[in-house]
Amino acid sequence: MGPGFGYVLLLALLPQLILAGVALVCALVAALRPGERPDLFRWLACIGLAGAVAACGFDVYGMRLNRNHIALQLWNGGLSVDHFSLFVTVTVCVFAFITCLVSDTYLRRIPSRSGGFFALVLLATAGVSAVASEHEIIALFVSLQLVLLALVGIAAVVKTEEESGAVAWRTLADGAIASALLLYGLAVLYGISGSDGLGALTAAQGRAPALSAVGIALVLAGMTFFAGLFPLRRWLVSCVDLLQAAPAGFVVTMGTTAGAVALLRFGPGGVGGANAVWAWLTSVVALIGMTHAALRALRAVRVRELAAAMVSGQSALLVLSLLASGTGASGAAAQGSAAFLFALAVFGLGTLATFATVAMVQNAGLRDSVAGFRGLAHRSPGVAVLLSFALATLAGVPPLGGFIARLFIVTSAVDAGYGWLAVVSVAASALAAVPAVRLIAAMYAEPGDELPFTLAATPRLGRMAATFCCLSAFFLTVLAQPLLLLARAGAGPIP
Amino acid sequence: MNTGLLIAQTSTTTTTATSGIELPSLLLTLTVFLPFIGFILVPFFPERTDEQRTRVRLVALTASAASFFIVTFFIMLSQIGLAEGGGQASANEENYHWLAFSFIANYHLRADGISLALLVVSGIVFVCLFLHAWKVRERVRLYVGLLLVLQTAVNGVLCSADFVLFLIFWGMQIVPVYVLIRAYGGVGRARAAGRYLAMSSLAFGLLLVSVLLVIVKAGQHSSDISTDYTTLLGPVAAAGFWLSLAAFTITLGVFPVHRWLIDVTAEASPGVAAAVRGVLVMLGGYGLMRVTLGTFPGPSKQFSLVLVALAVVSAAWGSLGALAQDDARRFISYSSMALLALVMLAVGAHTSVALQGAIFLMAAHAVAITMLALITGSIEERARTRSIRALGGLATQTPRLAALWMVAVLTAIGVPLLAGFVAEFLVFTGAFPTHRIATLLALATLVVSTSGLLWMAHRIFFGPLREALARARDATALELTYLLPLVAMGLLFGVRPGAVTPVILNGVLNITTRLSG
Repeated sequence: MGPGFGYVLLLALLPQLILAGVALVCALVAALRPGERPDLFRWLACIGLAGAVAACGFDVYGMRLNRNHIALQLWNGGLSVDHFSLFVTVTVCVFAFITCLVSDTYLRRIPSRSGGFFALVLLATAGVSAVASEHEIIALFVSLQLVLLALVGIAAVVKTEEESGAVAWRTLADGAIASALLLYGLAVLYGISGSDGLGALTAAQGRAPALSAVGIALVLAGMTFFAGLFPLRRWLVSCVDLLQAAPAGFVVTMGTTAGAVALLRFGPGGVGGANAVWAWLTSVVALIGMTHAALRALRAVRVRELAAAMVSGQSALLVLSLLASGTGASGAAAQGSAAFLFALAVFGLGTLATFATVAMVQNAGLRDSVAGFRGLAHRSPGVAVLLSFALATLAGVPPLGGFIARLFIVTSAVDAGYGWLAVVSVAASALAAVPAVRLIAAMYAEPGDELPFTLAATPRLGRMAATFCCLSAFFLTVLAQPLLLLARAGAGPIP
Repeated sequence: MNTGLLIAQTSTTTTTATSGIELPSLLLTLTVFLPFIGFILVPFFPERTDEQRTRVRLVALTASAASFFIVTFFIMLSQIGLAEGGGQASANEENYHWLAFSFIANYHLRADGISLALLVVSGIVFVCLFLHAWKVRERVRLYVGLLLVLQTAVNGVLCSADFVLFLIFWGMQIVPVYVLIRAYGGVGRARAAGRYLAMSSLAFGLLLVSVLLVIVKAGQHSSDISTDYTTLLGPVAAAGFWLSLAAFTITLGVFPVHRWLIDVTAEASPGVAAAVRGVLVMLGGYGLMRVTLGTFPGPSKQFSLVLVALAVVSAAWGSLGALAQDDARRFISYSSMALLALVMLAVGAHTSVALQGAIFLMAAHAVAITMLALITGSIEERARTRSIRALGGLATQTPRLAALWMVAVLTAIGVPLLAGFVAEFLVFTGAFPTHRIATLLALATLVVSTSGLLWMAHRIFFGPLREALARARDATALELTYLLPLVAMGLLFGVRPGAVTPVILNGVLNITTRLSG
């Protein structure tokens, strides 16, 4: 252990430490002063998130000082703060920041729980950030559990509906099953490789191929839970269905982000993207995930059900991008990881925008059924425009950012030799887009049969955040290059 | 030095100096995005009173007209002036770096002869549609707003010289058209809109896969349309060819994928039907030339017989199908299908003469079918029916409408001095040397569709006047305002085709050079 170890440790963990510290402060203040205003917690959380982003800047500075100019590494590479983890950290901090702003609609109803809510939001953010930094299977597992518990906690805290507690229990139960699968899988792989480092998994493949395949399959099955993919996607549907829209958006976005990031760390970053078993199993997961999500979207009769299906479809697309590592048919890198990171940011923004807008509608007391949204444009043109943008982004309708993200993923998949899967993804995306476009049309084309409501009925911060997300969705097409450059830098450490 | 030449010289600068003078290099951007600026502005205008609705329409009309004005007076006339002055017409171009993924995608707009001619035609059609919007009384903002997005998308497709841009603009038209059909159509509008959504999504998906194959498999690391993709391996090129052919034939509404277009024309409001029939299908023909022929020249030559066979079957189906219709709109739609089949024939012929003819044909078709769709709407307003059987003798009550209808029909069937004549003459002349039997068969079907259109005109406007139509009004000032510019455009292309031909030829030669190479 070198003399600078403490300094490097502090620098490496600074974003997570800040997030956890502010979460602790929120929890303590909430416990000691129960009547405190929700605004205090919100701004505390925002300051914590800003601090974490600033700490990422220090990390970048630290990397420049480091001899290899690549990353801050600790515990023999078990914890590695690289451009990838920094990209993920900043992205999830932005997601959490947006959540802090849009959750106003929910917090006005239950102000007493705001301290706990923001503490859990920060903990979940720290958890996802930690998942991105881990290069060790045990630490990866623990980080995922932290995310799971924080999200279950949020589901439990949000008690505006009777079913909230049930959602939390269901998520916990499903999460326990997924965690068991994950743990068994990791244990098997540990047994083969004799090391808990992700980097050692590649080398150990040849020792026991059959057992190794079982291990990979178990890990992949466990991670489909976090990514919100078939067959372990029930938590996602329950959260979206039964929680308040604003917290539901956060839970879903963070859960799927954590799952996708963990898959990237474990797959291309661990067992190796070229591993035949991994590639075969991942393509099966992506195929089933995309098809299932498209079919669910087509059958959706409620807007939140549709959103859940589309989020699931996005996760499947992220899984598809994991396959496109290494050199592509064009002779250059297939850039699946860059596409993954670009899409991660865009999909997250699209998801949060959708749920933020649904929260506005929910706030106005409108029904959640697709039929209830008919003629929304006549009742509230502002909400209709925002929801149209958000849904179009989720569906990948040109010219919004969702389309560009899908284009990158599909291009990298074709380049990596998964043309058939790319064709399936195009078909699934087109199928899933149909109900979204129908809903958009129904908002404008059908007559409205309910009383008008205005955007002013929802808190200003929520409106601003939703508008920001929608505008970002548009500008991420026009100005895609800056984010793409960051994503490429972030993808640099991934083999 | 006359003004035309002066403008022409400015335009030449445009071609080469994208990094030099800034103002001229924005002409294509303005052409594409002025309607979009209008779309952004429109929601800020209220629409409660008639005056407010008029203001909304004026904003939209101004945005659309400005785009048309730029493309016609600053670009097209300068190219014509350049050609008449003895110079060689060249493409206007704007090229800026945009994205660098595993391929380079640029913000590359390019308007050569093919694009320019179609931009002018679509521009005039849209201006007329915005004038026609004065007839729309409800949800005016939504109507004109979506039409503005549609115009942006159409102009974008015609100007895109990069596959990613092309895809974005192509996909951008789907939602506005779907909402327009569903919001403003007749009784069966939901079904028609559903069919449109299904077929346009399918076409977009096929096009996307085709483009991805090109970008990834050609190994050029570029998505520029003008890049030489002959490095594509045989099977990949063939797959790309078939995928793009399928996508564009769906859009063109050729047999056997024509039902959606017939439904849309029948069920959408007259303005929307005119936009779809007049402009959107044109993009199918444009795509066939620009992408299918330009990017896959090898398979295009290899499978040209398929294109020609599709053209003949489609022409026959359209001509004969029209005769079985009693609904005036469906009749027009089938006749339009027969006419557009000739574009396929021209594309299958691969000669520069035939391809020039295809451009003229699309222009003539856009003018004629837009007029017919809008006049049918006017007749529906007066007669409260679209049944050809229920109409008759309208010429005595509505002589001006009858005259305009006849001009549209004569443009479509190719009477000399109108755009259709030049088009059909060039198509048949160009196609005959390469596909003699097919050309003769297509000519035979044209006789049928011509007879059909004349028969319909006779049934609607001549003969004894139906009692229910005795009080029908003639064309109003508004109707004349949006129909006469179309007549002028049809005449302009018919009387002075020589002015446009060198400009179009410049674009066509790029394609034929690849086909011969």
